[in-house]
Amino acid sequence: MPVWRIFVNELRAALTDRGVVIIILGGSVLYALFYPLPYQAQVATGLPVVVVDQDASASSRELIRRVDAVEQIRIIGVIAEPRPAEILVREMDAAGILQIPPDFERDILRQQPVQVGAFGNAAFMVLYSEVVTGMANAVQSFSSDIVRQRQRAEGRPGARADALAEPLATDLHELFNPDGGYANYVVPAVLILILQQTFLIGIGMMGAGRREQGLRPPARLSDLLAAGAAYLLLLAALLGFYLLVVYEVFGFPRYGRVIEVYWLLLPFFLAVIFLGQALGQLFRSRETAMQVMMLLSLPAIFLAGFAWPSEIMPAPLVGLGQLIPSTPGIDGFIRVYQMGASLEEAGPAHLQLWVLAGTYLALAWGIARFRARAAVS
Amino acid sequence: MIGSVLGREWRRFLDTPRLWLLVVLVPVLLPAVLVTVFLERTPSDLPVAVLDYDQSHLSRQISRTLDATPGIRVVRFPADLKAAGAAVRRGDVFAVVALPAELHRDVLRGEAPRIQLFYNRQMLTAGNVVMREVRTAIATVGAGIGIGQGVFPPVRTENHPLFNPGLDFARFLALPLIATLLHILIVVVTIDVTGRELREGTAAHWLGAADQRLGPALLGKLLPYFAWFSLAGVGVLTLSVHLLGLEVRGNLLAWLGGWVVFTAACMGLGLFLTGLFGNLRMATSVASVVISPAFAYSGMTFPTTAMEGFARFWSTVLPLGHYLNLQTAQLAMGSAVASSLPHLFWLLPFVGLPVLVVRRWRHLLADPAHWGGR
Repeated sequence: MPVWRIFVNELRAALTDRGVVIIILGGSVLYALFYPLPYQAQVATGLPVVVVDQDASASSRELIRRVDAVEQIRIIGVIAEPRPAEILVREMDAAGILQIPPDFERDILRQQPVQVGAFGNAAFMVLYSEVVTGMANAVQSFSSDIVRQRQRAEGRPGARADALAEPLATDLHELFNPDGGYANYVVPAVLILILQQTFLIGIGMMGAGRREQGLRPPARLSDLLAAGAAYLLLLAALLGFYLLVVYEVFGFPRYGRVIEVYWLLLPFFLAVIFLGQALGQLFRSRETAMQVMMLLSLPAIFLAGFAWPSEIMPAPLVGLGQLIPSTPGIDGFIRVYQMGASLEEAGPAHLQLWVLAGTYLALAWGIARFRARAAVS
Repeated sequence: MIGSVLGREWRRFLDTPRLWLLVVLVPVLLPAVLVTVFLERTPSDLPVAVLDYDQSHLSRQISRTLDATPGIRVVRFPADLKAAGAAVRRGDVFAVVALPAELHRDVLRGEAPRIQLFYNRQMLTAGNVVMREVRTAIATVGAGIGIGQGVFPPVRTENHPLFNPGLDFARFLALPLIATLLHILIVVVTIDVTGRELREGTAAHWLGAADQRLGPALLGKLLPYFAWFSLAGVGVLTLSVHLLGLEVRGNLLAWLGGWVVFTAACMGLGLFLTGLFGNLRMATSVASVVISPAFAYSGMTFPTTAMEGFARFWSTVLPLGHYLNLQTAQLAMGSAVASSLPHLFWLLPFVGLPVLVVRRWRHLLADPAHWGGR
């Protein structure tokens, strides 16, 4: 059979197989629209904070007013006792506590250092960091203003008072994710994983289906490549859908060029296709592909090392993760499209993807030849 | 009756390597991988670059303070902002601290110089850790200067991380992730053992072993898996708690009881979907849409209170979030048992969900037209 016929046949077979088409087209579109929804707000604002005001003075009320003005925080109540406040956090009714000690105002007036307690529910990372950072910023500006007032009262000029209030100031510049959005952080990586998982399932189901029907897989290298080209076409179309439609719908920021993303992800797609062709010859039943990939998605995203830097993972697991196409695929994609890295700067990931593509092609071909020979003898 | 279904299922199980893998190996192997991933402590010593335009005593002191700050280390001194930007894009560093020229002189003259901090917010977790640590380190140096000039910061904040004094978020995330994996596994296995009978056309034999009665057929098939996953889950979760060095602050019984109800809820969902679609592949596909993204909706990473519209609704409906909230409340936060009961009640409807498809199940098992579907 000429290779173009193999290409057309594979494309038609995949698109007319209900089980396969639901996953590789339906699943990859549905998941891409479904996954970003929980993170659509991007940042958690108005998190409930309860105040334990043991001073009840004009100064403590001024500090509470400033904390309430912080975007991340909403004051849900001011009480005098610490115990009920902690219960509110335990019951998830409050995310944090601002504790203002007794004699707060008196100590400020006497120019004695005062400490304000910023408690946050650290069982949840986002809750803790938003609430505590918000309180710390408000307290910092409150404190600087007191220094300013004191210096002015002592007759120092405004600029000098400012410098004394904050001898070393830091200006923050966010790179790449301007509003610090959670969706901007998670979803681009998940999109790459979705393409990998849905196509590993789809291609795996095709292979397992052939095996169930007693058909031999294409054993010639050119046949494997021609069949793979069918999936390459679909993956390229879906990537276009993600970059143009999904990014537009959810308004994700991007700093890279689409054409560079395609060139970067070409070996990623090939690695996924060839890995799928290899696995498809190992599954005994079509559903196994689905079951296995459902279980592996979560570990794959953590082994990819984008959520937690791979610096902190044990070396053998980092090595294991490097064998999964999504690991360098996500890394390269985020660098190029989310961070505007050049292909040269994303070079190591790109090279690794080519190596994986070559390795999995050899694997798929080796298994196919082995099975062809076993069938003959 | 149930006895013969149980015996039949046991033989099927023994003869099926796939079930051995799914039921025995996976519940041990995947949690083991996750525990290993998270056994290390919170992101430690993330690399930063210092762009030192001042080259003074003070700028070198700031570099040393940054390097000595736990959580970050200074790995690079790029020549200019361009080189520093490339280092960030390559992933060599997570942030660049630019110390302006005349920094030291300006401080001595009381002119409040401004240090520029560029940090990688795309890598949100690592970026925020680096940002926080750099600001703290600079503030510490600044406070030293202020004290030298006779100015003390009048009001300071003391941070208190409740329930997690070491701020070890990775360790806290490991357990919800393990429970999430097990929940995917339980749904997958439930659909597999029931849907496979339809696919392979063995449904009549199955029903026959139960004297044509649906209740004993379903119970006899699923009870052993329910018992096993309840036990295995309790074992894997408590072992993970031990390995990760966490302590149970709440009610152990309420937590583990919650797991057992959650196991039943997952099986209820699986049995419902198989009945609804009458097809192993289709039920698994739909289950995947429901449970694969469930972790994102659970509130463990991004708070459910910040979710909007459909996402808020969906996070309330899905069983996973309720179980994980119960687990965190009882395990980490030591909440009162009463406050976790609403989560338990949200799980119960899923246990009863298959009741809706009882008639459909009767039909599926009796009519060979529904068998063999792929």
